Amino acid sequence: MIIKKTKQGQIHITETIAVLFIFFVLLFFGLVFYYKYADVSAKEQLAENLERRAVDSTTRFIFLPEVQCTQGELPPFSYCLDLLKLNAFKDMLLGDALDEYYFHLFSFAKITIQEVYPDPTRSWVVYNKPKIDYSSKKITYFSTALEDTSVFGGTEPSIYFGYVAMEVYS
Amino acid sequence: MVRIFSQRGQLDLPFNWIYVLIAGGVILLFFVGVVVKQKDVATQQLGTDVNQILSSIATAAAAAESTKVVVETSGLADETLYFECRNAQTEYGIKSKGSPVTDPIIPIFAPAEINSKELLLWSLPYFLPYKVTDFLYITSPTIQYILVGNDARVQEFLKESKSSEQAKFVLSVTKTADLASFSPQKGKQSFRIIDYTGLAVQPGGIVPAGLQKLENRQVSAVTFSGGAATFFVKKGTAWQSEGTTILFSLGGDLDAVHYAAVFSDHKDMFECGMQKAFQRLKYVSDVYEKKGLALENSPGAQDGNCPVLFSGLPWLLLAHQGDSTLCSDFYPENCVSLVQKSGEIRSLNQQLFSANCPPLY
Repeated sequence: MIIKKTKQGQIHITETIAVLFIFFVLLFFGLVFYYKYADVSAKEQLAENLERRAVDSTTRFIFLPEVQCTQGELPPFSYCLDLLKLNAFKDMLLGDALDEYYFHLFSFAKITIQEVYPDPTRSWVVYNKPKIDYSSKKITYFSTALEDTSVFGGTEPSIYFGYVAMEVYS
Repeated sequence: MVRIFSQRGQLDLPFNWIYVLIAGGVILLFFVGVVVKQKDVATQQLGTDVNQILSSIATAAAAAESTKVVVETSGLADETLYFECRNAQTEYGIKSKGSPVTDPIIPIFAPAEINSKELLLWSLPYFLPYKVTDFLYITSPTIQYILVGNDARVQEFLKESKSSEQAKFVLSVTKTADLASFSPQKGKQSFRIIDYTGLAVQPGGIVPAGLQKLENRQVSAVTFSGGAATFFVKKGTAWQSEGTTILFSLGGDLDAVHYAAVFSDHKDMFECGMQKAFQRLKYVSDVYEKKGLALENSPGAQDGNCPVLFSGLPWLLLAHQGDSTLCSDFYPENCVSLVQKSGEIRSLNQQLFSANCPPLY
């Protein structure tokens, strides 16, 4: 048998290697692109979820019966926080209530009430459960009235103005 | 012409074909894999997205008092939404898709399964005597509620079945004088009988002829009698009682507990939701107990008849807080005194209002 190396055969091998090389290069770029896309998409989703959680947590807090202003048998006042209840709630959360129950409502978050008028130096950290190794955090603000029911009926004003700062971690 | 059949040439041709086949197969497999994976991910994502949206809607509906919300779920018309409540934890989601939502906070009262293009969400506040939480009722237009009796609650339910603000919020509610001859509306998937007479549905009694052919899970009933509710399920052609449970409520218009029993098609769902409410009551009562103490010593509470009225308040609030904790831990056995104490606190609060003293709530 005569074995003869033809030019044709040599070209075929080179072609095959070139095609294989291009195929793997394309596959590599495709995988890198897909990975990058998936990564960016996951990050966007996380940011969106965090934003949604911040809004949900703020809504929950503003309408929390534990802190909302009341008016007897009538529906409670919206966007108003009762300072006596707020202090009682804050004290309660120093115990087991935070981990046992309210963590399910607010998760890793910090809720601060800041008085703006008349005394901007007054503020209350009502809920404080920060995440030590957080990857991102989001703060939302919501303006609210603050009612001091302890000065009821007196000459002193009992309604102040402030805001809720809701800081959530992920 | 000399033809030289070289070994290389003989190997080249089949090698190319094998190479093309293998490479083609690998590429095809890769794309098929990507498509299958994406389809799976998209389905799971849809389930998770819907659950998240439901969770947000539940939060919003439960936060804003007495709201009626319609949620379009036409994209999920072929899917079944399920609701379960065990150990004071509600789990809901799309059956066999996505991660379900677990909610230990909002008392949700809903049928076990809903298969509909629309969800109807309604929230009502629960007072004992101050606001404890908002109950969230979830139902759909595919469920028909059949009211039996002439109770004031029948008229109230008929009135509430439509919303003045949400034109699309329409509950399918029918009042009937004769349950035996009742014929079901076409297109409805399940039927719930609300018996205010306590006589139309009895343990072992016969299910109305028009409902007998339906599957057991499609028909349920609740009867109200003397501050208690009895839940029934259909077993063939007869009613089977799931048991009676006390309604811990101060009554009045739009009684959240009454509607909780209406919208839960099983006793377990009702009691589990109530358990969640009493867990919350424990903490809300703690806050009011502390507020009561602070109010007693506040400047506004020192005028006129206020000190006398306030003298009994801290004890009453402490007792109510203790009862709330007991009820939360041992529901429903230790909840009986809650309603009585709530009545006393409400009465005292009204006296504080009348005497121009700072009210508790």
